[in-house]
Amino acid sequence: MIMLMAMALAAAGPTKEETKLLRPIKDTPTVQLDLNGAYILLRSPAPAAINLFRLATPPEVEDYRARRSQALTKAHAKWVKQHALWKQDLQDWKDNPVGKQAPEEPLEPTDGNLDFAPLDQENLLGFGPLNRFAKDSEGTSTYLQRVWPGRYVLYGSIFINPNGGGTGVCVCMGTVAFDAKAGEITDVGSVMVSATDALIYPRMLEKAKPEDVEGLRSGAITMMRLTPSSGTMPVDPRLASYKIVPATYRAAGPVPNYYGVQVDRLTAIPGVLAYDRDKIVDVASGPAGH
Amino acid sequence: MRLAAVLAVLACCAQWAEAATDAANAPNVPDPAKLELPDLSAPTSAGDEGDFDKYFYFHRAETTFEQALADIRECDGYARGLASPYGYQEAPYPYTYTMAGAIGGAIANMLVAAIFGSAELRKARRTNMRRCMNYKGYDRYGLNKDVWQKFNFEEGLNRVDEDDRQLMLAKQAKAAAMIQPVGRILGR
Repeated sequence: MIMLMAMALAAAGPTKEETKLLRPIKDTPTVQLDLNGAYILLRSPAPAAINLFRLATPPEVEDYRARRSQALTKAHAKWVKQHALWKQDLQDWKDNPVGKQAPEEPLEPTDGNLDFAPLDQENLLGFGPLNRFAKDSEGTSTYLQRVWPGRYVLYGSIFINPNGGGTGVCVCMGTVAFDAKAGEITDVGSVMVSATDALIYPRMLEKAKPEDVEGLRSGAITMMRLTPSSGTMPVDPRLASYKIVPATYRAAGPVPNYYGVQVDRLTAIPGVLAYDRDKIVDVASGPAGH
Repeated sequence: MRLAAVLAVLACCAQWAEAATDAANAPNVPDPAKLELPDLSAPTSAGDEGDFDKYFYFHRAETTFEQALADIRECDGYARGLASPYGYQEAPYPYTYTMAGAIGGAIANMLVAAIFGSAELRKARRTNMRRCMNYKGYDRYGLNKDVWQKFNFEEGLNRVDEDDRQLMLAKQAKAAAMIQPVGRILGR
């Protein structure tokens, strides 16, 4: 219960004004960061979309419930009117069914079928492929973004359709989470994304590095790989005066496939993330998730 | 502030209670003895082998029917984009059993299908099922298409009726747990 109280006392999410401050840091000759802000830095060997979401705090969950409940009430009121019209249409059809199909009964909106984006989707962040902070001579892209302090889950690589759905991959069956704290740049390390795997495109094995072939074939190497920041990864000199802290990971997941994309898991990370079949193992502390 | 904290705790507990209710509403576990399967040991032809990436069944030794059914339903949930709307939680229940999740990726993906076509959506479902079941330690065995169609479904632009889906998933679970597999193990 003490833990629950502590969770409940966690800060609510950002206001609309604060949300405006949360954005990628662009590649400009000089960089001015807010010393009180939280930032996430990550790298990718090639330009890629990389998605994280922030875990909602209990007050945010409560706020979400209220908004969802309101939306359901509104949708249901609309349905009541539509249903009355349908009843009349049905009676008209019964009186004179020639040449027409029976009108279809409108589906009653419920909490189970309400079209209302899940909370994690509201808290989803996208890094790349645009808005790159830096690119080095080897082609590595660096992304830097101001974020709301909290715990973040590496979710996948998804190109999201603004009208719904997306394409790409989620690491729904196993991933990592880390904390991003105010006053720090949290260095996530390097995230390598592959748009396909040997299941989708078997011929990729022919072009793979010899040392990767068996892992790609067996599934040990997945569509997303994370190399944690060891503190030795180069850091852009424009950030030299800021506090940069390597992310401390814990295993996380499973996570729903919110966008109906390819489902995969993060490649195991020595000392951090392992798998016992589909069981996600936090190497430091034991099984994670359920 | 203190009141807000208490309310938030109550909300959190209510969320877990709701999860438990959802789990209670999970589809029933049918009696496997009443599930009819075709003869999976029927010989396959060289022509069939070319389509083993599409037509196959899963099997894992020392697995109960109940466990196989839970695994197949979970993978089906991933493949169709089921999700509880209330966000990530390390709750001790499989979210894929909650019909509250039938929105999310399931509906949104129809827009993707409209762009890429139904065939791509069917292929995506197959690869998701194969990847998920492979991670769970199931092997794959090839089947003739006609045999496969008797207890499997493909899903593209047209959604599969929920009762039909659950019946076929249960039959697949019976094959996964209770049938002595025949033939060679295919790759994942």
